[in-house]
Amino acid sequence: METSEKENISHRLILSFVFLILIFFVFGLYSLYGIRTISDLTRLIYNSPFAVSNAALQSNVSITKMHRNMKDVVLFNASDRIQQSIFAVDQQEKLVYQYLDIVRDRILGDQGRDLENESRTLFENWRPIREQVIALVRMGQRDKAAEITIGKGADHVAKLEEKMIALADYARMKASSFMNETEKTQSHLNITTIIFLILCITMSCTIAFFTLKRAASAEKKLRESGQLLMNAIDYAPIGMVLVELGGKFNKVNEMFCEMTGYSKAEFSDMKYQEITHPDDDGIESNSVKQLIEGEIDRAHLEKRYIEKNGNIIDVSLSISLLRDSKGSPLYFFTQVQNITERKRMDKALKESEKKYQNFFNNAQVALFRTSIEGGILEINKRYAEISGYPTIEACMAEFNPGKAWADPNQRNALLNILQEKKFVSDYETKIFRRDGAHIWILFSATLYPEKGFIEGSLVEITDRKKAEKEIRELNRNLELRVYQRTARLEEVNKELEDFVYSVSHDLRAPLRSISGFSEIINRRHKASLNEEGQHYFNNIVKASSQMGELIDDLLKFSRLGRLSIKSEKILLKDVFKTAIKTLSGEIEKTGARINVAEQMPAVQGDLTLTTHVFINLLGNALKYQKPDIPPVVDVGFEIKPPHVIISVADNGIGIDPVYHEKIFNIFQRLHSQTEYSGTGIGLAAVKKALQIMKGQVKVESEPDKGSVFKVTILMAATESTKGTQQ
Amino acid sequence: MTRSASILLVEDNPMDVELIIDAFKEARLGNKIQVAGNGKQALEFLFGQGSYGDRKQYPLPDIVLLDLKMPGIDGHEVLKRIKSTDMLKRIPVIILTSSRDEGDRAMSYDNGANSYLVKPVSFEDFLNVVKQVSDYWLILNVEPPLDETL
Repeated sequence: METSEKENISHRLILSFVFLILIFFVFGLYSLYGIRTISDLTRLIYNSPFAVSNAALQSNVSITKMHRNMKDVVLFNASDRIQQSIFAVDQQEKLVYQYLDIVRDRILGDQGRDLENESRTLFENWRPIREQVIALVRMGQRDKAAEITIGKGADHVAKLEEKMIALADYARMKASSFMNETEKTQSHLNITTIIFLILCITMSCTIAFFTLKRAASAEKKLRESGQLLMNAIDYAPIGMVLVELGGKFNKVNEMFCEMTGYSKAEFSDMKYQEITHPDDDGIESNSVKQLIEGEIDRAHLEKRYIEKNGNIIDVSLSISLLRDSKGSPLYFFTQVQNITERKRMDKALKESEKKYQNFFNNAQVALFRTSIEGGILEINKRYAEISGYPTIEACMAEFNPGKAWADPNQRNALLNILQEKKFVSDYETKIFRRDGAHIWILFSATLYPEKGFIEGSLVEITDRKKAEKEIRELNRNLELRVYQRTARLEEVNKELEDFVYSVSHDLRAPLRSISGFSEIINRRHKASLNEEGQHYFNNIVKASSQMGELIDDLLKFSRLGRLSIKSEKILLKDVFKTAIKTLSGEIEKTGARINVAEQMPAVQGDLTLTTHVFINLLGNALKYQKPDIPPVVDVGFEIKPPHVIISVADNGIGIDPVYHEKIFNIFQRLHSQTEYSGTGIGLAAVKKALQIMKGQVKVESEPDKGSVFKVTILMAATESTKGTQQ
Repeated sequence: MTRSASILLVEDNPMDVELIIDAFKEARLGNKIQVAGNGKQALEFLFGQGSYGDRKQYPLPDIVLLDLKMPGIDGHEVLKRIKSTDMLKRIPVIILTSSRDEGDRAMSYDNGANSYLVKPVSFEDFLNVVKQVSDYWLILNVEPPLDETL
């Protein structure tokens, strides 16, 4: 991280400086060009306009000298003097030509060259005039010569002087234009330089600013990341330690301290060897050597440390070597993990593996692991035994469970189940043993498709199957016997019912006679009896009437079992209507009020029996009234699918809970005939009728608090759920 | 009704016989009632056999009141014989028994009984039954034609 940051900054710096150097280079070139321009211009000024101007002025001076000498020629009388002056004129003429040559060479521009041509021509044209003068002088015609000199000659000289001055002026004009050019160039150069310098200073400052800023932030980051790294090392979840080559601890982290029990301060005076278990001393010397020689980058090994408190712990080490920039070894950096627990677990695992192996081998259930095709991968002793082999090895060498199935189709079916559900349990099947005999087994297995094997168990159930078969046969016999007994019982029951029926029937005949003749006596002969006779006679009539009731009830009761029962939808509303109608005499006599809930549901059963049930219950409610209190009977219902519970609640004398069961037994009466008449058959008949219809009856009652008879009866097949009404 | 209809009462219980006859008397019905004490006697009477050979003295009854439970030839047998004999089959036979048994009822109607009555226990009810039987069968009911030639 920090390295790349540094590199980044230096890259930027290099780039920036290269850029600056480039700019300076370009600027240098530009300046050189400017200076050269200035020096060229200066040289030009020096070479041409000044030289031309000087030459023009010099030639002007020479021309003036020539003219004066010509005047001397005219004025002097002495021939040597004349000769001297002519010579001087010639000398000066040569000089003028030299100057004109300079002008011709140096002058710039077409106009300049024209001026020079004109000057040269004008100068050349002066020569014939001078020669004429000299000739005249030589001929002695001095006056004429003087005249020409002063006239024509002087005019020509004046013209020449004029031309020379024009030349000099032209050259001066040129010089000043060069001067202007030079000044312009210099001023450009100045401005450019200033701008450039400002630019460069700005850029340098900017680069310096950003680079410094960047460097500062990088430094900060570096500091932070360094701190972070130190923290990370210090609070790392594994032990980290920096050890000098000699074994002295340089730095240790918290975890390492925690692991070994020493403090950081204690470590500062300790050597690595001090915490190493004596038996493991030198265990890493080979790795250390390889690390130092650079053969490996890091070494991994396990050893034991001795904690401060003397405990021995197992640790796993990962050692690397830190080197300085020249590559010389500095420190060993070691990462340490406490693997005591893992070692312990490994040991426990090995032990448990061993236990499992023992358990597997010695289990009394046959255990196996086979390939999906059926080849044995692993089996236990019991498996070998069941398959008919003396040893596991013999069994594994020879036995193929895939081919041992008595019914191969069953195996395929089982495999299908396994593929689908991944397991199968207690699958009963037959397999062939080694000796060809077949045995019954309970097969349970789990399929591991990703591992390609099946694991499971076999339990031999041949004996059990045999026992089951026996039990089944016994059961069959038992069932038959039960059936026979039941049939016999039904027969006896029927006989009993027939007996009861015919007894009651035959009892009726004499009873009829008794009551019949009693009645006849009552009608025709009562007057002839004395008081005592009449009393006894009344007893006979009463007793015979009771017996009549008893026989009628008995007959009804026994007839319940003889009726052919229908199962039909019965509207309770109609049943109660019939019952109330039947009981209308009693209702009138007792002044009773019977409240039947609205929307009584329909039930499933036999109409005759159901009507019989409710006539009986309502009749009882009317009969067992409290003295002088008119009976109030509430009929309600509650739907508890698939049943309807119909309650018949009265305000009568109530029934002691002791008798709640007994009252449904035949001939069970709680009151004497003088209190409440009755035969003790009614509720027994109600119970029997409901039993026949798969219903039941219960009573909730306490003495003096009225009774509630609850009849549970099947809902009508089509009756939808309705509410509850009391 | 120009002549008083005659009744054959087949009943083995002498007390019931007495009660029935008394009931007829009580109801002031002056019908001639012949009594057969068992099935055998009844058949002899109806077929004019044995001591009942004289038809003038023992004419065929207009209705038969027949008990079912009798020793020897029982009521069912007697009914069967009556209804399977052309000469007798049109005579209304009223079963008067103390049995409410389903089987008895079914068999009686199957064999052609014209009515099935259960003997009531009380004399009062008995009177009612006798009265109603007489009213219906001997007064309201139009008797079948009797073929005298047979």
